[in-house]
Amino acid sequence: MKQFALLLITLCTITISSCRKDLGTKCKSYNRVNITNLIGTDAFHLDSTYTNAAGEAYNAYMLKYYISHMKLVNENGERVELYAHELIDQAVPSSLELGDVIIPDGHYTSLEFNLGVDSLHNHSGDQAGDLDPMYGMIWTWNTGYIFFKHEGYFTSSTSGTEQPLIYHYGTDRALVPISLPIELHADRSASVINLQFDLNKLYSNPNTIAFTGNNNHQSISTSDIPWINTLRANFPNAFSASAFVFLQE
Amino acid sequence: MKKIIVAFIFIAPLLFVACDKGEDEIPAATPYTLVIPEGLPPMNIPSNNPLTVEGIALGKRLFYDPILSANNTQSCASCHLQDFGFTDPNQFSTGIDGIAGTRNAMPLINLGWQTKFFWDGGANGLESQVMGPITNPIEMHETMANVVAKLNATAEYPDLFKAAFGIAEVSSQNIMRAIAQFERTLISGNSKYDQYMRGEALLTAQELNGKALFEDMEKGDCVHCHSMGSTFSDFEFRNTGLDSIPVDEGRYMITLNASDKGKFKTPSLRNVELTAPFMHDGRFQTLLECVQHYNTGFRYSANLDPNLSFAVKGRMTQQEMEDLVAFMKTLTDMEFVNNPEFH
Repeated sequence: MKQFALLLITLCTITISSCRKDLGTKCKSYNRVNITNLIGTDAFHLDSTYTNAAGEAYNAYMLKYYISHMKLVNENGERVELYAHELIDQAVPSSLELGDVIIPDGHYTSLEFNLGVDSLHNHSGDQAGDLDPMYGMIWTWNTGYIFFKHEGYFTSSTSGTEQPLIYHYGTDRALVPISLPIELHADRSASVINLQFDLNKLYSNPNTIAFTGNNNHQSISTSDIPWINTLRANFPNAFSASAFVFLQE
Repeated sequence: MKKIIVAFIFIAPLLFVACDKGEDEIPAATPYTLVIPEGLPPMNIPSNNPLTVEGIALGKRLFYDPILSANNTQSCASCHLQDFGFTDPNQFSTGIDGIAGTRNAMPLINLGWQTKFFWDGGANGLESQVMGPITNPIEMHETMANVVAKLNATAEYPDLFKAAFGIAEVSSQNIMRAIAQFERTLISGNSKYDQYMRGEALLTAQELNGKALFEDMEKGDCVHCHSMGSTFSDFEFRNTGLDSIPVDEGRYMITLNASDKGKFKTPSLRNVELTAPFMHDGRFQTLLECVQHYNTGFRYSANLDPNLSFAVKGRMTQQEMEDLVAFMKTLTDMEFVNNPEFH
């Protein structure tokens, strides 16, 4: 409700001051992005137990990832960047709500972003905002960001015991460009894009990943490269997006 | 709450105007002009982190403050001692948990001319390097988030950060930038060798012979990597034949290129008399042992540096090796070691 009031006020200000279709001035809309981590169709929760496609019970006490250079693409292929670098942290609810961005009116047909940090920004810790090293998503002995971090426990399919699961996914080769179809008609409106990330799909679609004997990857050795390639192939299928207009002038 | 937010929206523009006015009143940090000794090249300083008097002073304070370690017992200076060219006289430094590392602490000399840091070049800039020792579990074992919180909670640091960077709130970025600024001032360029090059001192016959051997491709052949003059290093990564099968894979652990196995950064030879023990693992105690290694001791492998692959073993006499060491000792700069600005 608070946000709604704020949006209404700013929307009024913009539409009054800048938008005259008959005069050919560009009209503007608002868009925000909300992110939901899922297991199938259910909301994902830290420390809850789930079952992956390999049949192993697992959880996560930490789930964080970087999304960079998120852009809306209109029907003419024109792009507008919404956010530069965003750290998504399941433990920090505000990190799942990416704030309002002014966009030109238009018919948008896809949402593009990278899972990870682009190579221009990936090799220096001398950065602020969501790339601030204090968030612990950087390797300090080999400067580079951890694009995706899943730490938790799983039940080994061979021993039946609970074991730690440490997945630290990164390095330049791990960057995943992702493009998702959406349908958004922005016309002096406020809209929201719901971006969903299904953790179980990450570990199953199209490549099934079993954790047993495969539970510690930190992107540091050549033996991690096949694991990086597998996850990189799965990441695009783990995301989906839908858009809707919730306020029209 | 809603009313407060609405009110804020109307007040916000006024605040911005007021802030603009206020910013003019914050005194900007004082630009610092680095004096580069004759013989050393100009230094590339990142445009987003210019040297300032306040920034360097803050960096020095942080460098010597054990607050950067998890239990507030160790500072950067615990393992980088000025008396020893800002390195550790121990083969391996011991971190806050009593665990020793596996590599010898690197000297902090003329860092502003280097682009990659650590023995394996894992850090791409002096600013980024700062995070390494702070967060390494066997070194200072702290998190950047904790360091930021601890510094923010002190009475004095927020003011020092404000003086240096215009923002009182401590950030990891400004911690890195301040320490990097201080480190860029750690310049050595007034050794006996430098004085000789400027015509202010004479080298002995033995030192001069050592200098000739240093440059002689058939003898010392040191110059291929420890470039003559100025920095005394090419700062490249090279396999110097310490082991046929390297225990520590060095640069390979960063690049994962097989050809980088056993490669380490060429250290500068400035103040080398003071920075013992030598090599990435501190295996040699004396300079003579180092010269003996390059004369006869190096081991062959696929990655051995070509300059050594072609070198003839035993090409120098005992006397020649001693002369070479005598020359290396002319690179000792007591003005650097005793500079009160550095401690």
